[in-house]
Amino acid sequence: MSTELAHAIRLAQEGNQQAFSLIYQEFIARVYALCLRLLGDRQRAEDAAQEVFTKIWLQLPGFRGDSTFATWLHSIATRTAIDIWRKDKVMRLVVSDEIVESVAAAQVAEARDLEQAIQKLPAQAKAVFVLFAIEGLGHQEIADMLDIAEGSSKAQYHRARQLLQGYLNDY
Amino acid sequence: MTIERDPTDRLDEVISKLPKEIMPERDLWPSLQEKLPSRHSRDQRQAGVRWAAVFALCAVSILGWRYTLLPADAPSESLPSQLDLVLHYEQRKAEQMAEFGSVSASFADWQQQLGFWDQAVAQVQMALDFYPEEPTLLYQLETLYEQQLAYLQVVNTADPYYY
Repeated sequence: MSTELAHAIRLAQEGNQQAFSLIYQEFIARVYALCLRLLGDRQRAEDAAQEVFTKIWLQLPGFRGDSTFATWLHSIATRTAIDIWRKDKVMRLVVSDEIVESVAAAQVAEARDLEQAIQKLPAQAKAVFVLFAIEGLGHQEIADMLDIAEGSSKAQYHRARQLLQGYLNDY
Repeated sequence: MTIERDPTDRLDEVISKLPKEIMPERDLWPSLQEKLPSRHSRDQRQAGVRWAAVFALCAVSILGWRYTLLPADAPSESLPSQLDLVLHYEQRKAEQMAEFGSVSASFADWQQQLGFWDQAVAQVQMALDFYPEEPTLLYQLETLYEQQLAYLQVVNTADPYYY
């Protein structure tokens, strides 16, 4: 962690919003990527990212440095995004293509196809795949977050891979 | 001759190309900054405790002053009822406010809310100046104080980091 970021964290803990904006700039792209992939909709992802940073702002005075700041922040981001995804998956029936448009410019064709295929996965398989394959969480951690068994997380991941391979072969 | 790639390897290769970071298309900071709830610093909390002590001291002083200036023929049993009520509740209010830590963003306007009850209490007290023994007014005074204390309790116990 850079000295500048450590200083910004200390100031933000004391209520300095300008210092918090530096933290926001440092981590927004990572948080937004997670929200966008899980929720599959630009507007929802923007709202979710704002909710994540509001929670981080409120919980910042409690950060004692037991874990690295990035780990602590990412944990709050993941839990918040999962909470929103959980409510969202009940309401949403339509798969949005916005995520593909958002990332297309920066990606090669295969990665863009995969991004599109991820959005076609069933809700739980998509969440498990994003958290395991892209965010790097373990199956036990994912299982705890999604209130499922560790074995179910592994099974959903396996299922997601099979579906994705099928989708990619079709492109 | 071409060699077919293993589909599993191909998938892993494509996964590794996915970006970990995606920037939102618009800057979210301005609207986020507007939504950020205020956080009370330790200095602000200490200032709150000092103000609570000042309020309590003022209440006791004003009531003592009113007590000494009342006409000698005023009903002797009526004043202690009002005075006892006010002293009792102002002290409890001061104690409760002294315990305040960080306040949840949902109760950011707690001082304003408290002010509304203070205004109501002041009006009942004004009426009690004319009808010192009126049981309805005394009951209203007690009820207002109880409501104010219940509100302070909720503000004080709400988790400041969730809302």
